Amino acid sequence: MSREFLPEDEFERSIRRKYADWNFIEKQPTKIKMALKLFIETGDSYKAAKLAGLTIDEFEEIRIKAKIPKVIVREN
Amino acid sequence: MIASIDTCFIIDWSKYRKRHLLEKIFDYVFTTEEVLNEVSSENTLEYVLNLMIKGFLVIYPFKTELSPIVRKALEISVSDPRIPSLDPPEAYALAIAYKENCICLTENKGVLRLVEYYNEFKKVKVWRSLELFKYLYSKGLIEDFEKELENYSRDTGHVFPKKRFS
Repeated sequence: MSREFLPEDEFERSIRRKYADWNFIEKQPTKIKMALKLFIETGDSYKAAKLAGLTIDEFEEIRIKAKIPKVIVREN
Repeated sequence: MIASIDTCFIIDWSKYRKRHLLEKIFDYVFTTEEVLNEVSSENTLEYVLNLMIKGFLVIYPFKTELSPIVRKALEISVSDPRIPSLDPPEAYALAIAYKENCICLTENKGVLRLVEYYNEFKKVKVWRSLELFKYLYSKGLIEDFEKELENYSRDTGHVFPKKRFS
């Protein structure tokens, strides 16, 4: 069963895409690159870290270098 | 006040310049091996070590009792398309909060949606960093709410956009 994406998910994804350093991402080894793209699409650090074969801590360091933000939407 | 803490939360919080504030709010915080297994950088390890020495970060001692709750949460998350599937660290953080009636510190979307959509999990209070900052502000532990969000964003690579959804 495919996941249902809500407007909030789409909004968060658009922000991750916008701020990401795509030059940095494209220069990474394949597994890291795919993991960063997975994070951009889903916001899920655990799955991204496991795809890259890393701990979440290791993945977080790379996420910050790739300038991909964690998005926390505030209600107006 | 007691909390359970998820991996990403503790890793992010360890990078924050005022990370000591967590100890001003909670008496202690529960965690599990699943969370600690994901800690590997010197900064986070040093933070975790410090919290463990102080007895503030406690490995949950009744983990076997969590299995039915973890299983239920995981089953729901893989079968309900509205909920991003949970992974072990956040599932255990949720289960501890459920069992102990304490606050679950996580930013995991799966946990947030599960608690929002399923009555049996509605009693769990989930705090993201945003709610934690609101609490810190309400208790006078931070003076400028917006400035502190900016500091946290700088230290951890978070953003806190304002947006209303219908």
